Amino acid sequence: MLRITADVYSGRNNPAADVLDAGEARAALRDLARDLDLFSATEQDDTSQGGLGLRGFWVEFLEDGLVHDFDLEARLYLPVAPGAGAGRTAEVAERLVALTERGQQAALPADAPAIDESVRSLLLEQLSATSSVSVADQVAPPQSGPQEQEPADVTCQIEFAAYNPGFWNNDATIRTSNNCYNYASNWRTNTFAQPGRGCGSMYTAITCQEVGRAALCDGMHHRFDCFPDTEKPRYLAALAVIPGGGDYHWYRKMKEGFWGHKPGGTAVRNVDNRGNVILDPAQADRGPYTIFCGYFYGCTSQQRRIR
Amino acid sequence: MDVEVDIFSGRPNPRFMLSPVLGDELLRRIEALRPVSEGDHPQDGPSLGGLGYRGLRVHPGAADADDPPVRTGVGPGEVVLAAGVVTVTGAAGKPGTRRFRDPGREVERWLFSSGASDLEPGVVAMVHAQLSGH
Repeated sequence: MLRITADVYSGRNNPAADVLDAGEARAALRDLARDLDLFSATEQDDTSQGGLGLRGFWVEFLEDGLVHDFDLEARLYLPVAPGAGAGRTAEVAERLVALTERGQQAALPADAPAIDESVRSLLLEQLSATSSVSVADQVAPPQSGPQEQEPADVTCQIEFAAYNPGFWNNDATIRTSNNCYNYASNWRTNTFAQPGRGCGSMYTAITCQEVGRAALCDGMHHRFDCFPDTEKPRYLAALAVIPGGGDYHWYRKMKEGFWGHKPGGTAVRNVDNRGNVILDPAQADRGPYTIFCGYFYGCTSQQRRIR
Repeated sequence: MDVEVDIFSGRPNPRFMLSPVLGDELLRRIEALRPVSEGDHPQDGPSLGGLGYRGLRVHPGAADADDPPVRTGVGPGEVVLAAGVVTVTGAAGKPGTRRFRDPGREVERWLFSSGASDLEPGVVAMVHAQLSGH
């Protein structure tokens, strides 16, 4: 029915598992159907997504029935790269790893390793290593907005993902269909997500207070209002608006120490309007977004709610 | 033709429609521009990308696919006007990408003025401020 191969090794054959039960295979495909846009028919050519360690998963169909029923290519590839491991891709990859538990060793040459418990542990470890680092957020930013109120002696654990602009930029549909809020949330919806639309209460004016309220409605918190570990990944974001209510803009802090952002349907970047790497969006050249509103935390519930 | 004002980050970009007559005039003005030659790196304004006004994107409407302007032969295909350069991609009869110099961003200014009355005053003010600051 299905063969799942982890594209992880360099010298050895990659490990694989066959899911031979038809019912299991169909259930798995129904489950994966909503995330098929994450897969491609060929391995990614982007060299920034190659390298040592887990690179992705192949899902192959061993007979033509499922291919026909689900209207798929015979072989699909789920790329897993630094930064892309956060969010939906990581979730789908973890489901594939879990699926191998119900499979059996692939009918491959004797030197092709099985996906056993030790390999599954390795794969899951690689997935978490590619996505983010956890840090203690305890240094307050410079006081630079009317909304900022820093409680004393609060330390929140948050996560920073690796900067991976290719994930957002390389495909024209992804690039043009996702905006600054998608990027700050690290969640691709392809809907040009708007604060509050997911929770049913979209902003009604473009002010710090109202856009912030809408983001909180989606599930964000003000900075230093900590999320529990169950809400990992918890990203640090920042909000700015244009005076008079023209538009808003979001930023997200990256593992490398700078901030990334996505101006609308254009490419993700880590520089401001003067071309300087953004070390603090409050101090950066934000073009017309001169009102800096403050910092927020995103979380996994908020990711899944935004629309 | 549908014209997108590439300006926002969070909100969808504002857009306005060009009548067939104005669409034809746009293509005529583009064809009158000097092509960008190899080794020529025109930059007449801020770099593409970034926050604030970035340029105009013209998307051919459905009607255009069946009735391309005959005079210029450019036909349907995306047109981007930004930073003093006009880029035409995928035009009927002339496939591939062609680039033209737009000195003083005159064609871009003309196109924007054609649809400014359909836009929010704040958007118009922002675009004028950035085009005049060039």
